[in-house]
Amino acid sequence: MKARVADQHDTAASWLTAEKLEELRPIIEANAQAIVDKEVAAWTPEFRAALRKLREGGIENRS
Amino acid sequence: MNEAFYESILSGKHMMFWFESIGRESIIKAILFRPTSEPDTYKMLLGDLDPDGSINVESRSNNGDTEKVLSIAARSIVFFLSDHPEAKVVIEASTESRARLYQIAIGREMEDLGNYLNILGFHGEKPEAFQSGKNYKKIIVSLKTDQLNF
Repeated sequence: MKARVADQHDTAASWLTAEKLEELRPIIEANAQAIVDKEVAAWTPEFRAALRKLREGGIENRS
Repeated sequence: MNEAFYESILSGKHMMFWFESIGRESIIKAILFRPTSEPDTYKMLLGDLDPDGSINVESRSNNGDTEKVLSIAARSIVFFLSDHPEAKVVIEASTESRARLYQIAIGREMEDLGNYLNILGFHGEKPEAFQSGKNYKKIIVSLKTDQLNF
């Protein structure tokens, strides 16, 4: 079992390099932004108002 | 902690973190903080990272290391806020089970960092101070403004 996990670890690590991540970074960020934009589009006016109030310091959790 | 996570801490402005989820299999996870149309407001995404750069935020890998993954996700919020002290981080749970997991992870971090973080939970559209044991559809994490002057 240990050897199997080690092999799988190697498989994942084989593409996870700093260079590969830098190469992929614009694609990853664009993909993430597309997901975020879609989810944010669904935010309600009430939730946006709560965010605005939080930015203005109107909501603070003092716990 | 995960070696890849250490590398990501040292990289950039803490907008993106990556690490290996090592359980039944080895999965590359990514955590990203992306700006939204609201000022100073960012959304956190956690998902599986594929070699083509796509992120699967819906995956339920059941890899057996959920606690570690959530712990890293919670720490990434702290690293991000350290570089973006004005930011409000919105975390949205896509499912009830995810909401429960986020609640557990954030509740645990509150024990250490509750004095420094402002954490609000949303039931519907009404915010309330985050309470451990309650599931929220949306959570907003920010630094307490009165803790910014050292």
